[in-house]
Amino acid sequence: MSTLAATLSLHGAVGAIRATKRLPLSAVIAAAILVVFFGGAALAPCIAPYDRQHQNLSEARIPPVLFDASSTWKHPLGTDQLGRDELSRLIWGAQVTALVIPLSLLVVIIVGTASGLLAAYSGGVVDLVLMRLVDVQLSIPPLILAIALVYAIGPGFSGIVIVLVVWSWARFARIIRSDVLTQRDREYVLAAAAIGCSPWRVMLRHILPNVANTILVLATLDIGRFVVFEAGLSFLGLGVKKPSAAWGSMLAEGRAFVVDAWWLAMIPGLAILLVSLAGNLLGDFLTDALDPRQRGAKYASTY
Amino acid sequence: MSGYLFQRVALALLSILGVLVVVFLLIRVSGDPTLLLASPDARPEDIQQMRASLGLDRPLHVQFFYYLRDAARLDFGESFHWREPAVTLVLSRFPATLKVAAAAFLISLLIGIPIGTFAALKRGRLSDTLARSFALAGQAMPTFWLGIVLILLFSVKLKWLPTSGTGGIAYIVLPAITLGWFSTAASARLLRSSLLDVLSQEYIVVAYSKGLKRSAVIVRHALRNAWIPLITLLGKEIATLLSGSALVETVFAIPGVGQLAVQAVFARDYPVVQTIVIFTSLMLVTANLLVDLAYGLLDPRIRLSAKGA
Repeated sequence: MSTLAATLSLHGAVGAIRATKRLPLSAVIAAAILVVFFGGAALAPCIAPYDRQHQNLSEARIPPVLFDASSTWKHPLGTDQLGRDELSRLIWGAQVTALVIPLSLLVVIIVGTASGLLAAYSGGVVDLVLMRLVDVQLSIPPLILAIALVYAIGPGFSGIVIVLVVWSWARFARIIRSDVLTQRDREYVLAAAAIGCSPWRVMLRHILPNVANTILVLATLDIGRFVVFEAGLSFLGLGVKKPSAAWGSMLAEGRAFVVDAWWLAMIPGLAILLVSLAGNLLGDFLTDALDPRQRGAKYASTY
Repeated sequence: MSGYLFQRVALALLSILGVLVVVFLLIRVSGDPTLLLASPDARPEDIQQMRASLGLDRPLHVQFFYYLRDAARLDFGESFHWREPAVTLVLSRFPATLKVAAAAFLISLLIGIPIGTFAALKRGRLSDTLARSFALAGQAMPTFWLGIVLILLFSVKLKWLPTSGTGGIAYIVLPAITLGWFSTAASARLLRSSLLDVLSQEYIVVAYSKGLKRSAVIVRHALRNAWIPLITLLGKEIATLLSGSALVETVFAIPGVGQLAVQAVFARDYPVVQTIVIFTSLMLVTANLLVDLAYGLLDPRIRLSAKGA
């Protein structure tokens, strides 16, 4: 595990990012949004103005501050049908997503990279079997597969993590495989094998660092995809509901009040859009910085 | 070409078999359906008898054999909740889904292609930046949220279009825009990068140098080649559209396959869930197969080096 951690230590990535003369504004804003998102979720107990259970029916359906003269800064984003503070719900609701995403990403990176490496480096039957598995996974429309998975394992935290991993590993494995294939016959790999390195050592110590940039880009692009996908499942009622409603569930609840209290559906949706946009922008920036020849073509054409 | 054809068809069949295995395993993982069907005061003997009538008391490999046999006959059992054969039920819901999906697909091409072309031709200018921002936002936007925004704007505020349900063309407009938004952004983005790639090729310079007009170069030489990658996107769009239908049909209350899938999960109705997974996968695999074949026809490089694929 320590080898893996060491080789994944953003080999060359930091240098390449430094080499871009100045950071584009979009990348800075995107990183800031992600920091606010993950930071806000982690610090929810300290920064949320109200407790997650707090209700006050006499203050129900107050519009956000900027949209109504009668609103006060007591509830900057207004309140819902039960008089719960919308800002607090948003902060608490970020927790589920902020925990699900890094966890799923970690598993996807490990499973996807391992299968891609193994398939490309060993070739033969291993490659054949792994790639047919990838084919099968990509043969089922993603959300339909997710719905069937939730049927089988039930909704809940681990259910969502499994859904995201199953959804994403195949794409990951396929791209890593094609990357490893371009490395496999390079001289440094042949040399390492020739001096007697075991296949594992060749894969983990020699090839892995050379595909680390691809892993980083893919993982970053997955942040945005995961946020939207997880929100979609929550919206359908197939996501995590406890202890706080995730953004997708807030949106689904708010939909019933769209005529009288439009902000209940708009605000969580905007939050989802912002975080996923931030993930995509950061991913695009990393693609340009680390893999300028590709300019996104490699990642845009496969998903 | 026949080798390529054979290889693609074999892979497609293998994928379908794989999907059948996955569905079989998923249903077995999900627990004993007799416990859902039996009334709370059923005696153990009754449950045992029910298991036998559903064939659940047989060994797993025997169950799998019967499952494959039934699948070949397109018999996936009777829905627990809707009390009719699952296949009939799912097929009756397909037209609603396909209508919206077809409209969404049309929108994605009619809007995506001009935006992508325009952005590539005006590279670096303001219109390019705008087109790229649209594509970026389009790919990040949650479909279901967009649907609600459109309802709020065009149905609630402007009262131009109905909020939900089914009926004439008016009922399809908002769902189709919602469903097609992501695909529009994706095709615009892909066409832009593909066209930029083509425009830097030498044969474009040759075309210009022999005195062709700009419009002729772009239409006859550049776009013809830039469109090829767009065809591969087609298969993925089918996946996106079928996936998105679950969300869009929930937002707009359209009685289609996607909405049925969600309802079936809540009703713990596994015959319906498995039928939907298998049917939608079948469509996706077929679409991908057609894309591969079209690709082979359009691009001689692929046709001639089938082994590389």
